[in-house]
Amino acid sequence: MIVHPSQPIVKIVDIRKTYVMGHGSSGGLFSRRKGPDQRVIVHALKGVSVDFYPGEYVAIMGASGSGKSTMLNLLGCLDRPSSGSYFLGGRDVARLSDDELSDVRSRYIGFIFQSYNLVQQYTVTENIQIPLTYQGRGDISAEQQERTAKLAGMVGLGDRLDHRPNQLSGGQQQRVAIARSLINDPYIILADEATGNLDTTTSHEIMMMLGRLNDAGKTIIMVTHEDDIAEHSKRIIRMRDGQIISDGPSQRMLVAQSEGNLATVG
Amino acid sequence: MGRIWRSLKMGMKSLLLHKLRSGLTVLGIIFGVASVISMLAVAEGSSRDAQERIAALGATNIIYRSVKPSDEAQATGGRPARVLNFGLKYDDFDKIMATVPTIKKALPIREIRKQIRYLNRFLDGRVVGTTAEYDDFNRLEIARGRFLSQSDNEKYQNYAVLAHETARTLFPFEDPVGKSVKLGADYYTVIGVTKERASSAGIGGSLAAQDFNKDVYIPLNTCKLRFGERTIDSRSGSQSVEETQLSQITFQVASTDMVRPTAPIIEAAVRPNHPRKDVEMTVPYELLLEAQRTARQFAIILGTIAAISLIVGGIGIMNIMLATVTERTREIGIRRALGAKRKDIIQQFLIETVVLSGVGGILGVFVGFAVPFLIVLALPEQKAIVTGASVAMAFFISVLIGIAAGIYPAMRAAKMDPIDALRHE
Repeated sequence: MIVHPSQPIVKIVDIRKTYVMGHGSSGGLFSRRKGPDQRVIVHALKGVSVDFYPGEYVAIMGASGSGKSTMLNLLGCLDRPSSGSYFLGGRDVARLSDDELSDVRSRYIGFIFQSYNLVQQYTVTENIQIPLTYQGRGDISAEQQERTAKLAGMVGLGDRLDHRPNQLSGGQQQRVAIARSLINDPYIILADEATGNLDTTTSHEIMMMLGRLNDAGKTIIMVTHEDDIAEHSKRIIRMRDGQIISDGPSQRMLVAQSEGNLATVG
Repeated sequence: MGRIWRSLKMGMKSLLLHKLRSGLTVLGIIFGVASVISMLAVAEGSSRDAQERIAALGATNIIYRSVKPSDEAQATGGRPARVLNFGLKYDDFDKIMATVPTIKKALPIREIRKQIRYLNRFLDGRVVGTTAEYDDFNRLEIARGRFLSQSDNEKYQNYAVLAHETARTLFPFEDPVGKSVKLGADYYTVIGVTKERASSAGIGGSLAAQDFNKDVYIPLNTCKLRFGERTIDSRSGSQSVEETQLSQITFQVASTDMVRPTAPIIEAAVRPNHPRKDVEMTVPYELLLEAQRTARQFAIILGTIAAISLIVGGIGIMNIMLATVTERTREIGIRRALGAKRKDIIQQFLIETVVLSGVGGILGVFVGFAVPFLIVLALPEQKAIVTGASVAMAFFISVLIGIAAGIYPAMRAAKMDPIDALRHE
């Protein structure tokens, strides 16, 4: 599938997600409760529409319960919306089956998690290659081996290919996760509080790395609640109560734009 | 193929992460498989042993022996010089041969305990009056000279064939053929010597074990002429005289199929003449079938006990895999997020259980070969035969149990919601 730069790589139209929490009153033969229905319906997303274009670097912000995690799960094809459409690279993925969603994840989405989420018994190389093993026949070609080594080198772990996660620092583990998110050359990279477990210096390193990826043309969508982290992005979306309350360029971009404007004026 | 191999390798890695745990789980399967193989080996060994002993009697034979009637013997206890007349008669032999058409061959035997002498050497042995077919019936092989012939019998020849040990005792340095040995009051010319033969088994009390190596064989007619039918047994204070015409008749039919129809006919012909139960019938083929039935039951019982231990091993696998699935919930979430389908997760955990049970199965086969070997070392009387079928069966059952034990934990792993699994601490 060829994605044209002027077409949105992610197009979300009026997406809604409702959860049913708790239990119904018809809770079995021996249930003593005969009271009213205990179920609570939670509206996590109340009709969200948004487009992301290739090469964008977006931060989704919001307090807990704002719907940003639900948003990320839907964007990552880990969950299906209750209603609405989600076009990823032009294909509607909102109604795909579980297996089809798995396939989409392995081919078109790169994940970076807060707690790195590496498989402990695997080496750096094997961890980077996990998404490949779930594509098609699952064989690793010589070309893919080469690509793995190249990505490991790019994140500065070229000499640690055979190390296990427990032999690496947090920052190094997160860099393995970044390499892993790139192995399938995805449409979008989703970063969920990617620096949440790291100290300031390491966080900065990781953010610089994501910035360079974006400069190289990668589309990055991250979820964070830290303003200074969000400031690394170019566009910030703020959510509250399952809705987008603001969507605009980050301070960094505004400054850059105003400088650009001044330059043109001057 | 590449994928399966890779999955196997990755499965091994996951299992090696907890070496002790995986090792103990495998141990359960090793013991299960080894006990199935060794128990079946013991059962098979015992069964073959019994069947070989019985087959040595001839599966197509029906054996009649004269036995001293016990009540009669007691009644005459203390009374001197009473003639005790019992056992098979020449009439029985002739009658059966004339009336039962399915009998192919028959071998009458008269046995007497006698001292066998040559010069100053002697041996207390068994004199067997018989016909030319004796060697054939009893699988005797001739070492020197020849066995008795039909004409020897017809001509009442004073010929003797010595058994292996008899010949060695009486003629340690010479060739016995052509020499004369003394049996009772008469001399017999040695015409042949038999090779050593393993003694036959006694079965269920009806047929005593026979040692063929201290025998002397002479023609039946000669035996009848020289020794008559009476044997006098003198002990202190009492004397008993026994009168027996034939000690044993062995009937042979053409095939084992004929044994069962023939036996009752012979029995019907013999029984009316012997109301005192002074003859006994032994049918090796029936015993063989009985032994096979017993062996099969024995194998089923031992196999079942062993299979239970294999199932216990399987439960061990299931237990450990359930714990593993819970422990690795996070890993399952990661894999699902990175594109693993439900079936990939099922496959992963199934491969791990199959590796566990397969490794246990292979090691169990080795132990299963070693244990019967040790049993035989410790109990030389016991025979143990490891059959290919039992090895294959034990191994495949262990793998099947691995799959069966792995399916439920694997399904549970696959059913997890990726989002919940990722959030799992």
